[in-house]
Order: sequence, then structure tokens, then C-alpha cells
Amino acid sequence: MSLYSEIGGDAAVSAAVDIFYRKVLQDDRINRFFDDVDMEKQAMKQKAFLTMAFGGPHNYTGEDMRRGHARLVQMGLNDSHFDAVMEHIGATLKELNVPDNLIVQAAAIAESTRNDVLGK
Amino acid sequence: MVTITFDGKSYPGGNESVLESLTKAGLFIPHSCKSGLCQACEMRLMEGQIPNQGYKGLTDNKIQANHFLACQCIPTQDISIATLDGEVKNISTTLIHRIQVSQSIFKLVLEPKKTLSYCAGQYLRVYHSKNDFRCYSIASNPDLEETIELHIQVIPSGKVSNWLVKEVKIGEQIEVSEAMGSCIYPNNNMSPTLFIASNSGLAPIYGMLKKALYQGDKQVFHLVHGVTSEKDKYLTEELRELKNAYPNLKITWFDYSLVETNKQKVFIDTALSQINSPQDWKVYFCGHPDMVAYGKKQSFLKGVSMKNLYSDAFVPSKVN
Ligand SMILES: Cc1cc2nc3c(=O)[nH]c(=O)nc-3n(C[C@H](O)[C@H](O)[C@H](O)COP(=O)(O)OP(=O)(O)OC[C@H]3O[C@@H](n4cnc5c(N)ncnc54)[C@H](O)[C@@H]3O)c2cc1C
Ligand code: HEM
Ligand code: FES
Repeated sequence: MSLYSEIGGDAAVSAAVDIFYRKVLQDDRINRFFDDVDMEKQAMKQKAFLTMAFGGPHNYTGEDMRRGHARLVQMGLNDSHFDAVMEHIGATLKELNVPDNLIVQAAAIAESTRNDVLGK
Repeated sequence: MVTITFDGKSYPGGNESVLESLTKAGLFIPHSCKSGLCQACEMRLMEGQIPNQGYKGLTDNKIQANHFLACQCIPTQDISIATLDGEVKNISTTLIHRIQVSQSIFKLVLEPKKTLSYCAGQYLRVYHSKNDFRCYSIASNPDLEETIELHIQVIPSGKVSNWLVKEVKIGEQIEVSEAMGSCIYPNNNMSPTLFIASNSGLAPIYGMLKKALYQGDKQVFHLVHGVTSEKDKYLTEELRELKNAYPNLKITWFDYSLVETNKQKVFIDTALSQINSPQDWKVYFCGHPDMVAYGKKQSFLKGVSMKNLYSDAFVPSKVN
């Protein structure tokens, strides 16, 4: 079984988006990157984000990640912000009662995008 | 092989997504994930039917409003589609009634020349001239009313609002678009629902409230209506009657002029204080863009689920 289906598939990601996005909006270290005028659109992007981190089906390449976050790198996105997002991914999965061994796997997928996301 | 009609032109399709077919034909359709996740490729079906996969992940409201995802839709029959702000069909109407209902607001009633189907809470474009239009929300209940009721707030030196309330004569024709938007009240809803309106934002909410109550929905409904000042209050008699007929409706009026600072915050705090178990509630916001943006964020942070937030921000036209 894939990590994505073990975590609970699309339904789990949808539940995770609310929790994750709420955490992000309340975190003064990073909320300026997410403070979009259109909350639903931003939430859908976070859904794409979490699907990817949970090992779900997606069509993003490393190049897409670079391009997608370039605007944020210009705003000053760096390792400390990436670490904050990693914290929230972990905490979100914990709140959803996902077992620790799966959280570790999801964290590793997210971590593997660090250089692309930060444009390094 | 099927034909995809888009923007008046025909394109070959089938065996691949609408997004791929149109992209191959050299068009640019906004997209990102191509996996049905980001909803950047959301479009509107004007004619024909599509397989269910095309609706993947969309809310019931968006499906009811005929939205679909171009990257997920592999058409199996001829379809006609449009971007969300693109091509629309226009309909001629006659202005049959107009009355001033408050210091700032006029109620207009339009009679469409042919059936204009709409969902409760949708809006349409009202054309001043061929390429110059403004959006106005429908205050009628689609289950019972065939005429279109609009609430027009007069904007100082506003072109179309002043034209509608002062220049157009009763009996004259007004060109409108078909109904659009996905901030609608569905045919089935069991969740307690909070409606938050500022000024003429009451228009779509009045339509939705009538639909909800007349179709017999029994859960709690709460309407909070904010107005610039006491003189801008309107529809108070109709709302009081509704409240008397339906004990599950509660109404709170809010007068912005009585608040000195942080007006939106005080308004939204007042509205949200009505709900105690936010995860169970649906919340609708209609009216001023600042109120809508602030209100949605605060409701979400308070615990209302993203999928239970609906809104129409009355964003001013950028034509000028
Ligand atoms: C989805 C949607 C639904 C809408 N539904 C309704 C509705 O049901 N009833 C309704 O009355 N309006 C509604 N509006 C707003 C409406 O479309 C027009 O923007 C509004 O009537 C002003 O148009 P106008 O031609 O009179 O003014 P314009 O000539 O377009 O604008 C004149 C000036 O006034 C400013 N202005 C515009 N609106 C405001 C405002 N609210 N407060 C202060 N300044 C403003 C403009 O920026 C501009 O500088 C809706 C808008 C949208 C997007
Ligand atoms: C941890 C690894 C990360 C992954 C896998 C990831 C993945 C994604 C994906 C798939 C999207 C959607 C792109 C689209 O469809 O438009 C996205 C968008 C976005 N990401 Fe990330 N991301 C990561 C880290 C971060 C970090 C650290 C931040 C900021 C602190 C961030 C902020 C954003 C923002 C704000 C958007 C929306 C972009 C926009 O509105 O233009 N992401 N991300
Ligand atoms: S491109 Fe993301 S949903 Fe279609």
C-alpha cells in the first residue's frame, strides 16, 4: 500500500488542509507568504502541496517547484521558513492520528523538495 | 472524436483532457497541477454533458453551477464551454418595477423575455452598453419567482448604479447575462447556516434565505445584516414577517455608524458570536470586499471548515 492510501487518501488530505492552513495563517514567521486575497484558491494550492507531501498522485516536477516558489524566494523565503512548514506538516499529521512511522515518511518526501522550493 | 466549442470556435477533442485539447490547439488555459488538485483550470460547461471525473473535488455548489476541471474532463460527447469570466449568453429583460427602499438602495424587478434559470444566490451581469457591464446579485427565489429582483446601492458618481435607478424607464429593456457564481444555497442542506451581509449584500442572501425557509429546511438560520447607518436599513418588514413565520430564523441588525474604530472587526465579531460549534456551520458572506475577506479569514480561524465558507465579494468594476 502506498503512503498516500495508508494516510487515508483524498479524504485525509482534505481534512489536513483545514488544519495545516489554519496553523500556517496563525504563524507569524511565515503567514505573510500565504496571505492571499483569495483564500479558497490558496487552500487548493495547499491541497496540491499536501497531496505531494503525502506521496499522492501529482504531476509536479522539481522544476515546477522551483518556478512555483520563485516569487516567494524573492520575498525572502529561506531555510527557517521551510523548517516552520515542516513543523506544521508534522503537527497536522499528528492531529489526524497518523502513526509516527508514516509521519516520518511524509516528512522525508517534503524534505526532498527543499532545494527546489528554496531555489538552491 | 468530439467537438469542443470554446469562445465561438470549434476544436477537436476526446481521448484526452479538455485542457490538453485546447492547449494543443495553441490556446492558453490557466492550469498548474494537471491532477485535479489546484483548481486553476476551473471552467464552465455551457452545453452538453461530461463524465463525473470532470467534477473531481469541486463543491456541490460549483457542480450545480456547471463548473468543471478542464484537466480532469475527457469529453465523450460534444460540449460547449467557457472560462469563468468569459463568454456568456445574454438575455433581454424588461424593467417592470422600481422602488426606493432606503436612503441608498433601490429595488428593481426585471422580467426576462425568455426563461432565465438561476440558483438562489447567483448574480448576473447587467449591460449598460455592449462591453460595459456590472454584476448584480439576484434577490429572488428560483423555486417560486420567475422575475428577477435586484437591490441596487447607489454609488456616488457610479455609472451603472445611477443609470439603473435614475435613467432607465419602467417598460424599457435591459440586457443581462445568464446567471453565474457558485455562492448559492443548495437544494439539500442540513447544516445550521449563518448569513452575513453588508448593505446590498442582503440581495443574494434574501434569495437564499427564502429558498431555504420555503423549501422547509428546519435547522437554525441566522442572518446578520450590517448597514452604513440606520437610514440604509431595508427589507425590514419582509424580514420580520419571515421571522414570524419561521421560528428557526434569527435576525441581527448592525449599524456601522455606531462603531468608531475597527468597524469590520466589531461587525464580524458580533456575527460570529452567534455560533458556538463552528465546525458544524455553513457561513455565507456577501457585500463589501473588505468585510468578506476579513470575515472569511476570521471564521476559518475560529474553526469553520473551508468547504463550508461561501462568499460573493462585491468588487468594484475595473473598467474605469
Ligand atoms: C459578484 C458581484 C455581485 C454584486 N452584486 C451587487 C448587488 O447585488 N447590489 C449592488 O448594489 N452592487 C452589487 N455589486 C457591485 C456592482 O457590480 C457595482 O460595482 C456597483 O454597482 C458600482 O457600479 P457603478 O457603475 O455604479 O460605479 P463605477 O462607475 O463602476 O464606480 C464609480 C466609483 O465608485 C467606486 N465604488 C464602486 N463601488 C463602491 C462601493 N461599494 N463603495 C465605495 N465606492 C465604490 C469605484 O471604485 C469608482 O471609483 C456586485 C459586484 C459583484 C462583483
Ligand atoms: C515542504 C515542501 C513544499 C512542497 C512539497 C510544496 C509544494 C507546493 C505546491 C505543490 C504548490 C502548488 C503550486 C500550484 O499549483 O500553483 C505550492 C504552492 C505554494 N507554496 Fe509550497 N511547498 C513546499 C514548501 C513551501 C514553503 C516552505 C512555503 C513558505 C513558507 C511555501 C509556500 C507556498 C505558497 C505561498 C504557495 C502558493 C503560491 C502562489 O500563490 O503563487 N511552500 N507549494
Ligand atoms: S490544473 Fe490543477 S486542477 Fe486542473
